[in-house]
Amino acid sequence: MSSSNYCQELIQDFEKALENYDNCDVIIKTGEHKELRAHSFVLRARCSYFKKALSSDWEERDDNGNYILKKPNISTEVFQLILRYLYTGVVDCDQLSKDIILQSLVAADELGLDKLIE
Amino acid sequence: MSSRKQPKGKIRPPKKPNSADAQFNDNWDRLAQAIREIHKKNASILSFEELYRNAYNMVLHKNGDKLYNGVREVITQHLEEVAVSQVVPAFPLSGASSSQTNPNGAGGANFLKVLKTVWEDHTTCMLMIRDILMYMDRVYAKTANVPLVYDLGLDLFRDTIVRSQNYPIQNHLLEVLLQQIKLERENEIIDRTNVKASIDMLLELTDASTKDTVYATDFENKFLETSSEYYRVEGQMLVGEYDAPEYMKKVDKRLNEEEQRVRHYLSQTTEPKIRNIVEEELISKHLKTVIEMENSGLIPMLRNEKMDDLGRMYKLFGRVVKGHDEMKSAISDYIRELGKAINETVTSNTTAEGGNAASGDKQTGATVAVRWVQEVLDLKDKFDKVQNLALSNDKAFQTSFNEAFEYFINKNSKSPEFISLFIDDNLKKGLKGKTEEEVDSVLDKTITLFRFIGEKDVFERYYKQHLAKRLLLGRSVSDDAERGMIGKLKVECGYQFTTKLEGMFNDMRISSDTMTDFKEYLDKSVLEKPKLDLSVTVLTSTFWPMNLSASPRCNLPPELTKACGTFQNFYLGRHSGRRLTWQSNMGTADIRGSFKARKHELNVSTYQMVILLMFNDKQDGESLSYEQIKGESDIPEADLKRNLQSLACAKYKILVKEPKGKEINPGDQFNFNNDFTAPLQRIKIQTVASKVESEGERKETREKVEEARKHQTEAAIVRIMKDRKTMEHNLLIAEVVKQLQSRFMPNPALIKKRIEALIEREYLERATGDRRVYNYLA
Repeated sequence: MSSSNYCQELIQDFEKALENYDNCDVIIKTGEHKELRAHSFVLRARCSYFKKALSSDWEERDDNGNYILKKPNISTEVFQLILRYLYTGVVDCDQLSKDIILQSLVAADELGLDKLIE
Repeated sequence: MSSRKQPKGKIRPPKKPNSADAQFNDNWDRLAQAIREIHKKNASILSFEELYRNAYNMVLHKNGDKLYNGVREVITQHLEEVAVSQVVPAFPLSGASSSQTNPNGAGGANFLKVLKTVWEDHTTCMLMIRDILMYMDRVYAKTANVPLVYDLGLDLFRDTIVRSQNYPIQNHLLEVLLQQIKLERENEIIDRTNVKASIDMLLELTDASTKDTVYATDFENKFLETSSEYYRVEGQMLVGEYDAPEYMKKVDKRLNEEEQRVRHYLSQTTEPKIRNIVEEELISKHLKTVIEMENSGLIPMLRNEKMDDLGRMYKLFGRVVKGHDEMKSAISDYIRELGKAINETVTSNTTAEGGNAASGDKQTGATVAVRWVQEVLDLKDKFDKVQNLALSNDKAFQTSFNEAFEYFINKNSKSPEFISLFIDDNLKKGLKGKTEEEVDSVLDKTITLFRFIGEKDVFERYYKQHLAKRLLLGRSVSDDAERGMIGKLKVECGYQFTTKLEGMFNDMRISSDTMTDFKEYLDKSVLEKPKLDLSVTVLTSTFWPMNLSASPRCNLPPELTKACGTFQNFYLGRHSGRRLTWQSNMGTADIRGSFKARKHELNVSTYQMVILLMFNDKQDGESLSYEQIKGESDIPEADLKRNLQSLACAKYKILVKEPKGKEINPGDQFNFNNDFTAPLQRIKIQTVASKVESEGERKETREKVEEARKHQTEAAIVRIMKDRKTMEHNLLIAEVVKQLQSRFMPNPALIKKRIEALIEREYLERATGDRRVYNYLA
């Protein structure tokens, strides 16, 4: 199996994990007080902002031991896009409104996701 | 916010300048408060997301510089407070008195402990502050070209705590550190973790101007200076109080300690520097003192074979530039001194015993030679052992030892003779009681001494003489051992050196074949058989050391003369054109003597036989005078005296001399000793063989050697000139020396004389233009 095939498969599996909420241990509370779910391992590995936020110095957990990650200044839609990027590296710009794209850029800057901006 | 109802009243909050500023102030207040909470270790009540967003917003709205400066202020303020409330109260009791009031440095240790806590708190807080200001680091610090916030924290800590302008923290810190190290050097137990924490702290801080660590700029030099001083004093104290081995152990320990110290809590960069200091103060400065320490220095160590101490000295002194040179020259001087002593006992022995002359001392003369070689070998063994066990087989030491041996061995002009005699002794008696391996190893060692001899040609001459005697008198115990020895010499000096020696062996082998043929010849021939068994050894005159060109005078009995004639006819019949001369001085004979008690078989020299046969015609009690014997036998005087001595003055007294005494003098009367008794049936009369040469013989040998050297020098000159055709004087001399030095050291005057002789004989000529250049004449 070539490594590009492997990457393809890995991305698909990560996407599935995100969509199915398998073993999620992070609850993200977005601007609309909606809740998104994600995996702390992926967030830590992919973004230094989350790495700090989920570190033992700063972590917040609910009674079930899930991490609580509040991000009131980012909308659910934008956050979803960011999560998709973190899990799969893919952002599908064509189907997005200009407004959402702009918001995403601002959020990416705050979180230090320089590659997403590019 | 504007929609909120304001409570009316006289007192109103101050008018807010504008909403952006208000937003900033609000955000900053929260952040400043949060940093304070972090400093109070209250971070658990804080929200990372909020604080990060605050900082993010401030930077986003172009307030990065205000944020940055604000953070600087808050941290500085905090550190100022820490200095006053924690660090200053922990100052140890001040100054020089501290070590007296606080002998264990407890105050200092406590101070370091406090500093350690302060430093750890600071770094922990800075890590959290860095987390929430990540956006500022990433966006603002980069563009504004200011240090990242964590590095800012380090700089503030350096300036506010470590190099505080307000409190003498730096002085105390350095003093305490140096004091702790001093205590440890004096065998106190200190808490290394605290020291290490402070050192690590200094290593993490950077000096702004030099860009080097604060450890390097503030601490290291002071540490090295105090160490220098400390070890200067200690070095003086130690050489005064301890003997050399103890001193070296102390130094070893110190070096080890300093290395451990660096490894445990200082910077690795300090290691070579502190090592240099200890080496300089404790080794370099006291090299000679330690080497020359009475009763314990280098020489006593050698004398008592203290290999461990010597090894320690070698390792220790090898660390400094002059160390090994000093050791080498001291040991070499010692070898020369011991060698000189060995040489002196030999000369004092020979002169002491030379006094009572003649008979007994020949034997002791050889003993002196053997003892000299044995002592030199023992000395060599000793220093080989030192070399092996203590000096890691250091080549430089080996070379210098060899030079020392060479020096004193060549100081003894008899050394070539002595070494040859020693080999003679081993090849003669050696195999009795010693295994062949043992003899072989002794001979191997002897070869190492042979290498040191400058005049190898002199050795060769003696070796030939001794070998000749061994072969002709049948004294050589093992043919293998003889050939083994020649093999060794061949390895050392090449084929040319040993051809004649091998020729001597060949003569012996061929002679034994010849004798078998001679017996057959006699059996078959019709000639009258001789009445005695004649055994002849035919020597090729050029191989053997004796002058064989003429027969020494001696009137042989007619029977013998006749037998000789028979052999001569047989031999010359097979080898026409050869000339035989009879060397009666080297022969032996078996004769039967009838004494009153019993008959004895006597093994005597040819001369002794001639002398004894004269008594056959005499009546009992009838005596012969010295002059009569001399006249009738015609034996040369020196040989005659020696042989009479063997018969009349040695162990077996076949003849009785009148008057009695050890010396043979003109006028002495000799009688056949009819009352002779001996337990053995067969008796060997030892000819008192000269072993160590007398002065006269020595002179003769010397002359022969000089003569041989003339020929060799001329041969070398001709060889070189034939090849080069034209050559300048000095170059020629150099080349001749090069070719000859494996055999002896020719001196330039000798070479010059030979050149002149060759010019006279028209082998060479001086070049017409340049008198310093020679041409070869074909």
